[in-house]
Amino acid sequence: MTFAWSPLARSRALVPPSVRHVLYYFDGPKMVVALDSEGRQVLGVAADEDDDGTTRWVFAPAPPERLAALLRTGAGLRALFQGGPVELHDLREAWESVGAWSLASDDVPEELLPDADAELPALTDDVRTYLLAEQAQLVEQRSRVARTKMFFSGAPVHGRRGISAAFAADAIAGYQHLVSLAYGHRRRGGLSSTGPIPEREGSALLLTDMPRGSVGFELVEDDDQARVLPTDLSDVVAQVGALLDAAAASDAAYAETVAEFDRRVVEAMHGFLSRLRNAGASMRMEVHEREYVFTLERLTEAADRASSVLREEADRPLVGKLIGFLPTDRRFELETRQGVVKGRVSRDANTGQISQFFMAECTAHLSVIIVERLAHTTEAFTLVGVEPPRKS
Amino acid sequence: MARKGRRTNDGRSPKRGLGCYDATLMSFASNCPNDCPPADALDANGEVIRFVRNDPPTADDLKTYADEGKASDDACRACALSVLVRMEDVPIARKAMPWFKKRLVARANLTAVHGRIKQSGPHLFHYSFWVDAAHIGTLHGQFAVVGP
Repeated sequence: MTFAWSPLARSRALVPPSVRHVLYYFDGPKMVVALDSEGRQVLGVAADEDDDGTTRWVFAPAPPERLAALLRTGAGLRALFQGGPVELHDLREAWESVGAWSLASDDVPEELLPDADAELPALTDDVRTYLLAEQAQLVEQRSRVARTKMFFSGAPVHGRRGISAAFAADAIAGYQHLVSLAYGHRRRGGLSSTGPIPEREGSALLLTDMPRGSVGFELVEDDDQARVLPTDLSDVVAQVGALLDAAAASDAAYAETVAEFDRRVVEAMHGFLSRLRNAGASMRMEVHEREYVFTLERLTEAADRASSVLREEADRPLVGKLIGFLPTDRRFELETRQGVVKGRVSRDANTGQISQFFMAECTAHLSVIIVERLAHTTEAFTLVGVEPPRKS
Repeated sequence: MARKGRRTNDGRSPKRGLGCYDATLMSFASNCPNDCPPADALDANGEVIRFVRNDPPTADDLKTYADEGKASDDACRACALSVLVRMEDVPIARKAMPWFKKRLVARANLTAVHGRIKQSGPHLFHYSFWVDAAHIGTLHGQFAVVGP
């Protein structure tokens, strides 16, 4: 006998999800946590069987946050199977697929889904503890890829009804361009003044969500690998967030931060900020754990600062005593006759060699960024290297 | 399906209440590994619940995963029958996994002569039940369907 119901047409050939954990076993697995063909975590339940022993499974997306909540409370099983896509797989023993469909949960008969009040069956303490720890780790790993949320208000936003499509497209494209340039600079160590952006494909962000209750967008790096360290792109979006904030903060903060970036990045930032300002928008930006608020006033100031004249002095030797050196935070303090000079340590600097001069007299080689704005000059220093003292 | 010959397991506790019964002489299905059931499995003792297709249950309803020739990475668990030990877990399983709604609920009262039992797997109230070889093929007579 075949199944009483089947979808009208197979949407496409689907690979059965690969099982990572069995949550319920009774003469074989009956509820599993698995990874689908695109590496996303799904939860599957045995829903039906035919007389030949083929089991029909229904799989629904189970992001780590939601699976962890299910493990903690036991409630919310049905919610995973509502309002989104699900996959049906007819599986023989050895997990051999003889039929597969991808369809909307609304198209699946009620009797094949968990009941509305279904609970997660009680797990042993060991299994539950292990799975909760694993899901927490997966949540943490997600933060290791680039992730930015941008929420808008002001003129382009029409209450809760929506946002100007032209503005939204412009803002997202402007931000992506800024990130791509910063990423290219990070990967290649420099950018040509014009021409293609190097390694642009590696900086692509995906528009994955429109956070509920706000007018905004979530942009995420397309990376589903388990990660221990942040990706390069994750670092870059964090740096770009800090640069935007520094531009809105002060000349000193901007001068110090902008030293890390290529001039093309600064131009792109100016373009991005100008678009937002000209549209009369305000923006709140969440980058990983940081939140930056850009009122129209701050946006105006940031756009203005991003258009200021930047000059760079590649090497300014200064004799002094290295009284502060934090290689991890990349900060230094140099005591000179004219006073204490503070700043950042270059990413390319040999920190091991510099540390040998801690609390010693030396000649420090500094690159200097000079911001000229509103008849004021602000300097920011980056320590490139040190050597035994010589008279300056 | 019974394993030929008898084997002993000195780690098992002696049976109580059955004067002629010696647990160390119990044997199990031939598709069970030599060290199976595990030493910490207990005598079957009390009510167990199993999902079946037939009313009354038949021998087919008491085939193990291994009996059906299905591949498993745990040969010892595969040669045991899955049972629940609490009737209140039946609706929980059925609500969560509609597959169980296709089966009838059968109940049996087991004693030590029927085999050995141990909690296994991720579900707290799932038990593996290794049927004594002497009862393979007839144990279905102990089960009665108690509900759809």
